[in-house]
Amino acid sequence: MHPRRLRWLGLTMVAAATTLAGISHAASQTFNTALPVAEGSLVLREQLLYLKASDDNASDEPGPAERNLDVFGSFSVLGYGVRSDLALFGVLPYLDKQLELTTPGGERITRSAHGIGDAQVFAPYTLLQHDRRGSTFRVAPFVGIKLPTGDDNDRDGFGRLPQPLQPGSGSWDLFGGVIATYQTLDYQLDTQISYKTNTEANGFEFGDESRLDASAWTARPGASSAAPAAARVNSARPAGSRSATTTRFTSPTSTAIASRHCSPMARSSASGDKRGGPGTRPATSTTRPMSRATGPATSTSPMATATRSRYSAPTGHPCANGAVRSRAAPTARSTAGSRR
Amino acid sequence: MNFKTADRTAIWLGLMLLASSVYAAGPSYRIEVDGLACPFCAYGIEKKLNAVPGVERVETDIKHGVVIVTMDDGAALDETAAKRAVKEAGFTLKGFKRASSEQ
Repeated sequence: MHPRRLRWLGLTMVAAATTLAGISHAASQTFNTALPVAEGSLVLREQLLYLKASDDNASDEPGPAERNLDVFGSFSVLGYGVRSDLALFGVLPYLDKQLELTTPGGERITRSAHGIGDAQVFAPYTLLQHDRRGSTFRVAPFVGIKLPTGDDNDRDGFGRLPQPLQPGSGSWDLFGGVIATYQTLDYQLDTQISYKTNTEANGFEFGDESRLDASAWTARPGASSAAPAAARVNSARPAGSRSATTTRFTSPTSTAIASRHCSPMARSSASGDKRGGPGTRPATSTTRPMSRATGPATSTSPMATATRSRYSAPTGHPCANGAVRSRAAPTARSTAGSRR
Repeated sequence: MNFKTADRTAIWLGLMLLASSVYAAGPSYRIEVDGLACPFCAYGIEKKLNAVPGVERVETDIKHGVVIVTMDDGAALDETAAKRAVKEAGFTLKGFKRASSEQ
């Protein structure tokens, strides 16, 4: 490439990076915040996911199948401010799942699926709002529905893929909960409690989910733009298995802790279990501790899955408005002209 | 007219236009906003205030929760309109006063 073009490209990238640094913002990464979306405004968030799960039985020893599940995903979240106290969010995931396992014959095989996952639509309503200079406390209940937009009947050379490997569940599922957010110039706290009822599809029913999430975010003094929050702990205690704990660090500049408890209510029908060929057998799995990762905005929960045949995307509510909120130093002044 | 002279002329013309627009600015208002704690929140307020007819410029001081609204020459900002804009952005108007007369 011509050096001059290269220089322009470099300058453009710097400008873009500067702009993005201005509009990107740390926030809870796997669930909501109760912060507002201005009436008539749109916010867009892109969230990335990497999940790794392994183990095959309830003991500490790997099972005979030695299954390893890797999931890469991106979640596009679009929010619209219907009113200042009522927002509407849509979430569309794209998932790439890969499962390695050993067949009863001793052969090591890989099964995979990728595509659009199940979309979600939900609406938080600000029930309580207490504003002070430089801080706000808000409580917002929300309700939503998961739509069966993902493919739930993918097949490969071995037959139909096991249900947890399908990009979509095929079911219409309702969920709801409450979010509380306290934000100041220096830090932000978010917490959410939610419940999701999973219904049956394809002769298979995932268990209901109850979740408790929390995150904390602090601004680094003097920083013009702080990195996203950092550490998260997930826990899941599936039926008949030991609990799993995963800790992950995404940035050393701030700290977030989120915990999740998946209710051990997963149910799978016999037909659902038998339809998938290798890898279908419902099994408890536990997540391995994730390796240290750096860099903002890539992250999300390593998703402790693991209920019986249960795969539960961490994007249940990945809709932190914060993706497009920008956090600059508290002294930052922003200016906007009326004729933009 | 050589190229350098043309450049210089264009720059002076630009500066004159800029200066005239500054002199044409109308009154400014100081709006105190509660609940404002991040630049994205400020963006929402600025967007709403900029949609008010006659607003020329909006500046936000997040640290102090203050928004300065400068109007077009001859225009005025109504407190009700300012309060509505702040509310639509999801925040609370704490104070409203005229910061200066026309410049």
